[in-house]
Amino acid sequence: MHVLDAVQHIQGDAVRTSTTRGQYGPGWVSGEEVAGYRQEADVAPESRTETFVALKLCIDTWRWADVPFYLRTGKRMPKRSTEIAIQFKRAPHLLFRDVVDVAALEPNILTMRIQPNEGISLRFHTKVPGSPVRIRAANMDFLYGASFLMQAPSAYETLLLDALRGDNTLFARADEVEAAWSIVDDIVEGWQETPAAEFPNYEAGTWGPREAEELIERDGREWRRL
Amino acid sequence: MAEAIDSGPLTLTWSGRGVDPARIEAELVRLRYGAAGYSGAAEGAAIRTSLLNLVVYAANEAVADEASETLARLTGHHPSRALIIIADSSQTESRIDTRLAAHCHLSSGLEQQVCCEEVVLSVHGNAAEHLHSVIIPLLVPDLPVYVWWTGPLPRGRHIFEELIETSDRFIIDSARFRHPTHGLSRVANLCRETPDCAIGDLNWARLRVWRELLAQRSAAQSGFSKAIDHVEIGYTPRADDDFLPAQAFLLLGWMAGHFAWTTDRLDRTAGGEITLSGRDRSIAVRFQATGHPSAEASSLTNVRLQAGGASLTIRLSDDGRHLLLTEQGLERSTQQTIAIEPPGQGELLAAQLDDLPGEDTGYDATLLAATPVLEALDVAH
Repeated sequence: MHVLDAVQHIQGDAVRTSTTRGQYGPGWVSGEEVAGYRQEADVAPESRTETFVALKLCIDTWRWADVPFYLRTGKRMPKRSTEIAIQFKRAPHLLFRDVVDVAALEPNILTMRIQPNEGISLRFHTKVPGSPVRIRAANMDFLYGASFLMQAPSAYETLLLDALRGDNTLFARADEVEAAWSIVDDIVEGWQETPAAEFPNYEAGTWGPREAEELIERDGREWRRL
Repeated sequence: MAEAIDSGPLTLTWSGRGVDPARIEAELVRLRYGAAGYSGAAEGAAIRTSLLNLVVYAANEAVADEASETLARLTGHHPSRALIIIADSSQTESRIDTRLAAHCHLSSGLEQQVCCEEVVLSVHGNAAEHLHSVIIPLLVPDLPVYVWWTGPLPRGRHIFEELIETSDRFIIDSARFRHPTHGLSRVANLCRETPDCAIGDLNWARLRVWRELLAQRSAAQSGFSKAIDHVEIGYTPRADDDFLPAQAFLLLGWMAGHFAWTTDRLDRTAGGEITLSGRDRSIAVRFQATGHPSAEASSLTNVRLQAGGASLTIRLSDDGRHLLLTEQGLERSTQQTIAIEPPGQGELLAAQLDDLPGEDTGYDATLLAATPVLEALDVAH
């Protein structure tokens, strides 16, 4: 609740600069041709319902000051994946700065994979063995399930057992849900005041509209390649 | 859907016909579970280390098998996820057949580790025209994508350009181009149009020893490189055409850059020579087809640089395992024999995978320098 209360609400002109929305058109996903949202069954041919959103959130706390949170979610994207990625700032003193192109080094990233295939991966840079100094990215991936060689209970099994035990750790409280929705409601209200760009604005099987790229590129960053 | 599961001590495999691509990742995870089981450590950390994604475009099953054998030898040094794609858009049924293999290596701690995951995808029907949608979901996040185009450049543009768009480094082999001047011109255009897409060429890597020797020896005699006025490049012709080989163009492009010759003002003489411009002189270049008992078709057999009365000649020995260097010159005359080991496809590919996505290997500059030569000679053909 402390964090949700500290989230800066996106209102007014900030809705235009800190969010973007989209709706998918026809395209190809996993080798199959798929219809656009407006061609789906039971969807109005002029529907303006969003199927994609990207936004930037900031949290007003001492710990998270100046750390932007970029969220991106949508339907009919190239793959189904839920992840939290922490992108690290570049260290102020880089050991090999005199012999490698420091600007070309991408940031280190710690990723917590929620689903599918729960796990953690760390992308970091390492020196290639040998006398020339060459640095390249490596990815170290920990797959939770493969490490214990036993079947983890499904999400519902866990929740039902917790409910029976009276353990509410994994359950959202009502005030928490309301606080989260109040952040979303402000954005939706802002969208209603400013008509969206032409829908559909992204092809099924892509990572969303061009505006989503622009949103993050304005800050000199880019979305991860998932 | 028919499927078969098979496992060996170091390689775990799975295959399926008509596979939903969403299932492939799940099956790869199952192979990792299997690999973790082989390690014998019930609660061991099943960590997978990867350096890159490698997408291989193969024209048919035989090429895919050859690529697979090459990759199997590289897994220890280049842990990666490799996607070998065979696209066949001629069939009416849209279907994806899949073979998976996890190559596991014993680490020094005696725990097994999956070093390379290999996914062979036979994509049939319309899906073959939309490879992007099949490849993207299978890439390991946050890692560069290397694409190895194993054959000649295609006539159509769609698949080729889709793969270039996906790649951080695009690896070709210009020795396999049917029409070297057209192929290299097309690649040069790609370099100009797609500045973020680095191009690697196995044929460029084959020239490494020639380039190094020419650079070293021409620098060893003072004043030699600035006085070069004649160049001869000898090559073995192909049996079925008289096209100049890509290696000849690449070497000339490299020399133009290295010796600061200008290729944007060149003349073509009636005798088939072309003339480039140096700082204060012209450089006449002659390409010459020669027979050779062991060299493969379209490969270099000799190079001769002449600077007034001095010359530097490098010739491939009859057994193809030595370069014979002859210097006659301003300061001295010497002969030298240098043993060479012609690199195999695996070594050439490994060298390309060692290059970082944005690394400047000199290839782009060489191609751009060679472009006017390509255009001039293409008109002649």
